[in-house]
Amino acid sequence: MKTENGKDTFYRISGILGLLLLLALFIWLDHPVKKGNSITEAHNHADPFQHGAGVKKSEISKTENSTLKPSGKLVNGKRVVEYEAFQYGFALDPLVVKSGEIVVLTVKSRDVKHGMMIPEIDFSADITKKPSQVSFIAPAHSGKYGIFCNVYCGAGHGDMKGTLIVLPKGKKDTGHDH
Amino acid sequence: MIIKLYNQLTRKAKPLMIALLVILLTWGAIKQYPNIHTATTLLQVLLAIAVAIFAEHAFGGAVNNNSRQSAVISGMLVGMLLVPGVDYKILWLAAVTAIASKYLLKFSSGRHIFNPAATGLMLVSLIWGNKINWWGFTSPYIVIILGGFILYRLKRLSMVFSYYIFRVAGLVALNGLELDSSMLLMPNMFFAFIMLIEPKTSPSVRLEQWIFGCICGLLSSATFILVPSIDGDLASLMVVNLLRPVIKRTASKILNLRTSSMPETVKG
Repeated sequence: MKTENGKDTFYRISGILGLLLLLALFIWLDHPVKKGNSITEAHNHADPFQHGAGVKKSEISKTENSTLKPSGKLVNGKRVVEYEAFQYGFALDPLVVKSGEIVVLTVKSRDVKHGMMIPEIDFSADITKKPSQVSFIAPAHSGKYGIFCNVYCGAGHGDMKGTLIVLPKGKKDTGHDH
Repeated sequence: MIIKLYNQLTRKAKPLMIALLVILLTWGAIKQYPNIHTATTLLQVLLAIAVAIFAEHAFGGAVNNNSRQSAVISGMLVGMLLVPGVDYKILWLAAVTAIASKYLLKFSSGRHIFNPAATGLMLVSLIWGNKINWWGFTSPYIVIILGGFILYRLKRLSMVFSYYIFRVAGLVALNGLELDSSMLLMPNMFFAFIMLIEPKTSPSVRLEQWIFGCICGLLSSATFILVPSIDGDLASLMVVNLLRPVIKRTASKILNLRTSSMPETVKG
């Protein structure tokens, strides 16, 4: 009986320690990015790009960087893009924007209800057949980010993905549709 | 000999369910390769499993292999349903809540009330908004064929049929959508074959299964039109989990009524 209790306690403590270690690891992954020699610099908690390894994006190639043009049009300094969702994809794909700019999407569904989610910038919106406007600030770092549907919309829902390509700020903007 | 081997291999549902989830993950990785999300998603599932196993021990102590397998399934579901690239702290909380709910939220009979993975996922959705993506549902065919086989062994197919029929009916009636081929694939088969039927939180009697699936399907369709940003399937599952004692009482009343209305000769 004593051995059983001892074994039980051992497993409980191991479990709690394991959980705490993993939580510490996850918090560490989300730590503020070191800028220069200072890590005490105040950082914006709302901006995930000031939090190191927690941001999961992939780099854009040199060819993509030189050939891709931003989607939609620039209106009063904001990037305005018409964006559609359908079973099972997004149009435009990829959605190309420049880092740091305000993106205004006119979203509309071609069929059933959909959602649109960009986890890295904590953006999500519902998309219905009725057009509506949603906006977000493009990530400060250039790269490729996943766009996912977060309203279950049918058997191919798991495959319904799009890509947000963020070009560096200095990239020349033609202002034409992509 | 072959039948004996078949029976041995298919005797326990949990290893089969884990195998089904692994097949879905593998198929997804093959289908999408090379893809920027493949490594992210697989790491996400592994981390969720690790958190779930540690949580199982933290709450249950020296648990048996069966409980560890349950934790693996809950962890896999959390990892496979949350959007690829989700913040790991959200993943951690979802997996810990899933396991904690098994130990903390119980009926007087000792059985846990809610589907563990659904509980964890709904809690993080309430805090951070809907992060559920169902990316782990990589093939409806694999789910229907292998899942169907597991459910046949578990004797829980009635629940899936009922959910499917009432989910489609709900979509047509409440959403005004036309019944076409795309509509026939609208119900979430991954949810139906893998989550809805969780043996500890769903009924085993056939009539109860039909009522359980019916309420879940209708509620889910209603949520889809009223609040699409909430995952209707998981929210409805938690409601029917909670209603299980009522469903049981209703089903036994119906069964008693049927038995008492039968002629004496039929009653035997």
